[in-house]
Amino acid sequence: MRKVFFMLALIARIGPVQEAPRDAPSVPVDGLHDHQKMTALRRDPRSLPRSAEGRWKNFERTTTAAEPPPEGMREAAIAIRERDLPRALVLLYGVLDSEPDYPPGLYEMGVVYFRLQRYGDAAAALERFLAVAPARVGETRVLGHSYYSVGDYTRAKAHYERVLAAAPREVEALRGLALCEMHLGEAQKALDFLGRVLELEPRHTDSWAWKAQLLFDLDRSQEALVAAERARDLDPWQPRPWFLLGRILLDLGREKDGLAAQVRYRNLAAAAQDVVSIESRLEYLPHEMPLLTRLVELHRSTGNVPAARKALVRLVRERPTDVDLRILALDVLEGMGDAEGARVAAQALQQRCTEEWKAWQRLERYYARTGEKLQRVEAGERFRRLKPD
Amino acid sequence: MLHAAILLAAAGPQAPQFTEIGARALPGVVTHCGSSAKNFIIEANGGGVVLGDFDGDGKIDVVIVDGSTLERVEKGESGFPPRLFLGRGDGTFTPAGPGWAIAGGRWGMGGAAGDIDGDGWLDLVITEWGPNRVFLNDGGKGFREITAKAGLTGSDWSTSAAFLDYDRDGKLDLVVVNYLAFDPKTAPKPGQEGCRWKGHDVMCGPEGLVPVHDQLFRGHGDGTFEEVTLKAHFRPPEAAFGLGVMTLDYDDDGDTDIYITNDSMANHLWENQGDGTFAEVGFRRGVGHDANGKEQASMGIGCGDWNGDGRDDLFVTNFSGESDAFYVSAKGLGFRERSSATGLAGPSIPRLSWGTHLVDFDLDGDLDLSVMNGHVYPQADLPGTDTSYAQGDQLFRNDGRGRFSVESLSDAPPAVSRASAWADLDGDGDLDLVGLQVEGQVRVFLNGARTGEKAHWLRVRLRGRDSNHDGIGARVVAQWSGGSQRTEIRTTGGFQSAVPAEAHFGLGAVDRLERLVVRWPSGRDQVIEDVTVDRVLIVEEPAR
Repeated sequence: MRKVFFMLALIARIGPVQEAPRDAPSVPVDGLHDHQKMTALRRDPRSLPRSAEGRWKNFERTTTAAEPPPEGMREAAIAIRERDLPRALVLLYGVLDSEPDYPPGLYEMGVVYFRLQRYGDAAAALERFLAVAPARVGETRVLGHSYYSVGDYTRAKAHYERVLAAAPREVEALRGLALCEMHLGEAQKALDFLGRVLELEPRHTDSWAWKAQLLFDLDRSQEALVAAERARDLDPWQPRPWFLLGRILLDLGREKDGLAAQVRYRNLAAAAQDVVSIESRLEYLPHEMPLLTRLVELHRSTGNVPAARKALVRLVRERPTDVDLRILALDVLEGMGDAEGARVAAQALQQRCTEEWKAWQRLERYYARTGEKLQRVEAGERFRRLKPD
Repeated sequence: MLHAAILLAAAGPQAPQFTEIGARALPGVVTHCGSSAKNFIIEANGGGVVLGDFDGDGKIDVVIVDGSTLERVEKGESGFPPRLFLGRGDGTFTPAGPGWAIAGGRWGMGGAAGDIDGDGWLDLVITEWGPNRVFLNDGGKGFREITAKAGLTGSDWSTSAAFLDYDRDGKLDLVVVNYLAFDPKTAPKPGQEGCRWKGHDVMCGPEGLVPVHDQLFRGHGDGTFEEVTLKAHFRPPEAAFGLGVMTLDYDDDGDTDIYITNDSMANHLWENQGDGTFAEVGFRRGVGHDANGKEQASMGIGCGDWNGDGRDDLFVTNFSGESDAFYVSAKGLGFRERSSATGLAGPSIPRLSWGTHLVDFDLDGDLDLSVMNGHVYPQADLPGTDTSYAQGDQLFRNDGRGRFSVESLSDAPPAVSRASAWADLDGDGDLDLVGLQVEGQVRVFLNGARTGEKAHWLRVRLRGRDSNHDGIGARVVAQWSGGSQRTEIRTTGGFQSAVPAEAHFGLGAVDRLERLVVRWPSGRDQVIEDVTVDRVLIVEEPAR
């Protein structure tokens, strides 16, 4: 789970390459066969062709709007954004086969491999990126994360220090450095670095949790409790702060509170375990409808509204005009008490499924609940008009 | 570049501590575990190894528990039989005579040895995928199977087992760890039902399969048992995928507690309540999860008083991509997970680890760790896994200052290792190892620790009178001017293995003990003054 937290935090912040505009032409999902994806997944980034010496010497100056990216690069960016990582990999190999060592291609390939939890391959791609674009070291925290993820803390530490020399306020590198210090037996240094992370980003949940854990390990349970409570308040759906709270409270002799935290942890952890399992399968099979549906159900079961919203976006994106999916989205958000999200879902249902009687039937109920009389009447009329005899 | 081959390569500049002599020690002795393709989880765990002196000649013998194949199961044929090999006392073995022959069961997994009928001879339990089996030792002449009347209920898939005397009545009891309900007819095949790992189709499980509850049996002292799982409250709300077991008195209250590792689920610490029942306290004591609260895929268990505070510490091996866990006793009765602080976390992440032992391999007076490694998926050799199928085994040497340094365990090439057990096979005072691969030649690792002026040792065997015959569950404390060491008599080797019932002390420069203190399972304390070292000491429980 640690690596997943790590990864999710990272994903939110990745992206030196300009994202393609939303309406850019994309390769259709069916445009790539499974065997192409399988071939790409079986490739080794170390086998990519090399560019001529000095080809990217002036990379910083040449990456202007005047020079369009190689064919496939925009589509790769879209695939990454849409979390279709195997497709992104096919496209990136195409880019790098035709334009060896194209730096943004290498960078994105490293990020994709990292998200696929192929850390050695991620490191290989990012090391090459760094070799051709050394000035961009400040953007390569993912290389540190890759070393870290295979347990090479000494190397990860050295790389984070390089990143921070170039980008001193790079929070994720700072956090990574803290964790390396922890693994290298330097608990106090780790705490110092986490303190710096929290100065820069006081709402960094994961760093509060690590701080709580380190303090607990040092038998500073009262301070650990404060940090764990902060982590829990920032993200009450994450099991880890509850786990720490349970341990700390029991250690402090607060039996009742500790046991309550333990129960909350167990409930959240069971769902989180399933979420992790599904998410990791979705990295390789991003269009699997049963998995996407299960993800929605899991977040609904824990009451995690933000996560449920995101999961619903992924689900309906697969079939934007599928009335049953749109109704599911409305059911889920309304059932979770997310009035704002339910309104968006209702609007989308109305706009995307105009000719579906089931949509209007559901909307009639929705507007009855919100007390919007005119809309309710209109929805009812549309339902009865469209419904087959 | 971070290539798996580099990640998993041998570390450390000096010659390895152990020399692998399996081909000479047990020539042609191989084990089996299904097909090499490993399409089903039943083919993953390998067999078991049980070390003990079965013929009473003072030399350590070995039982190799062998598996089977799904083809044999389909045809209704028995599995490959467990075999006893008698130790020659030099680290090599010879096949035992026909009196010791054991028929094959369904599919052998692990085993445990102990004197369950109180006649002074070491008896044997074999765990199986199928009914577990019991063999009495007929006066050092051979085994006699008594499974039918032994009372070991259950016929699912058992992995590890351990003898203990939880009610301190002088008769050995038995804990059996169960994994899951496996049926090859209904088991999903690789790639089905999302059985993928890092983009590759792999065997399914344990997720998606049905876990089976562990069992506790109370011994009658005549080789038979009664199941007391429910009566002893030895049952969690939900069954788990059990793999490893350790007996220990974690709270030092004089009775034996039980620690069980589970695959992909929280580990369990069963605290003996002293009234014939147990309470599960894994979360409370901090030994159920990793430091982040994650349930790990746990296998082997090493146990010993690493930090010298008088309470045992627990080392747990885990799946690749997870760090092994080191639960060190802390204030109160809790533990703190210190794999990071001790340098154990990083080197374990690329490896999938199994048999492990927390003992003093270099006789310098502090506890080291051996770890056997090997992946469950042959697909680990495909691109992008950050690991490999065959892996090097590791020795984590204690630097005496709170950290471990990692070395290659031996000169042997990487292998797909599984269970292991320790004993002084060649009588030179240091601890050797027998290790299994998932299939293939059994391996014997002779320890080349230098004994002498700065590497003294003592092995202690107990002979119980009111306590059980071998003193299983006894606490033994070695004391000298300025220091002491504590250990317990236990025979579980952690994962599908058993070790001899003896305490082993590496003493460094300590060449004489002021006293040796034994707290017997009967509750009696015994003090032996002025103990010479570098020998095997046999201590008899005094009469009341």
